[in-house]
Amino acid sequence: MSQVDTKQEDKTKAVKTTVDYLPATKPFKKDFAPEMTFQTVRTEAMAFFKVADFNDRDVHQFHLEASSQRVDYSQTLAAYLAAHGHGHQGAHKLDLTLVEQVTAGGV
Amino acid sequence: VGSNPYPPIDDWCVPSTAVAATLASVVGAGRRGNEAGVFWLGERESTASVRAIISLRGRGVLESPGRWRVTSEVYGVVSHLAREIDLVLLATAHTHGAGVPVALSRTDREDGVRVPGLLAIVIGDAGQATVDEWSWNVYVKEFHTFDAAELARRVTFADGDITLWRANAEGAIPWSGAEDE
Repeated sequence: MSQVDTKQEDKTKAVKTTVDYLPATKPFKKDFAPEMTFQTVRTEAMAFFKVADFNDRDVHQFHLEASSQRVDYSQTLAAYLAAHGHGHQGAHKLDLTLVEQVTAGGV
Repeated sequence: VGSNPYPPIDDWCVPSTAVAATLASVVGAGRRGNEAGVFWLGERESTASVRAIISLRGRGVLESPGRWRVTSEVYGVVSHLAREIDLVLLATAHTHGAGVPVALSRTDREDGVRVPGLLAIVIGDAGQATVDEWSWNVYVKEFHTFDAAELARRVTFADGDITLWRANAEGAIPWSGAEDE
């Protein structure tokens, strides 16, 4: 297989994604197409964990973190993996954490 | 991915050492007039067992006279620790100051972790209250408070090994359990 072929395979291979949430006994696991954005992952993970953003007196939002850094929801998984190199979490594997942020004064 | 991430909990087993470590973590802040709190991690089964106490102190942990709050960064740190030691969050426990009702406040109800089976415990009298005086609440579709009979039926205090950790936004390290370390 040529180098070009390998790069093309990298672009199409599914990204094995795992999302942990502190109170949950099971992680959310799904293979996503590399062109999917983190927003898609966030939406599906929140549905799995049965949580939702909401406002009361405060703003409650759920966020995805990778290696303790919040991800950019407009970024594709492929772009993230390319930016962080193949050694980061494995070329086609992402380990994420779902956390809730409460910001005072939502309402 | 359709399985339930929150298996139902019928009752809880709480080692006596967990109670002692919880009080050791919060009583110092109470003396200073501040609320403080800890996380209880454990094994979530029909009988959930508390296995680790996370003393929350330092950056990302707000201890103040009327409020205890933990930032998302701290939740992230504890999430990584929980994954490493193969436990999940079972409970949060925090103090109310002397003279403040020993019950979940509106803020506690709104800001607490709201997933089925999560315990939210309020320790009265700035951490001086004995365990039978704590307010025990479980989230179902809203928070439900145990009366004395339900507490006796659903929470067992027993011997058992636990690990102790101190965590904040900078990371998590083993903790001795000593008061106000």
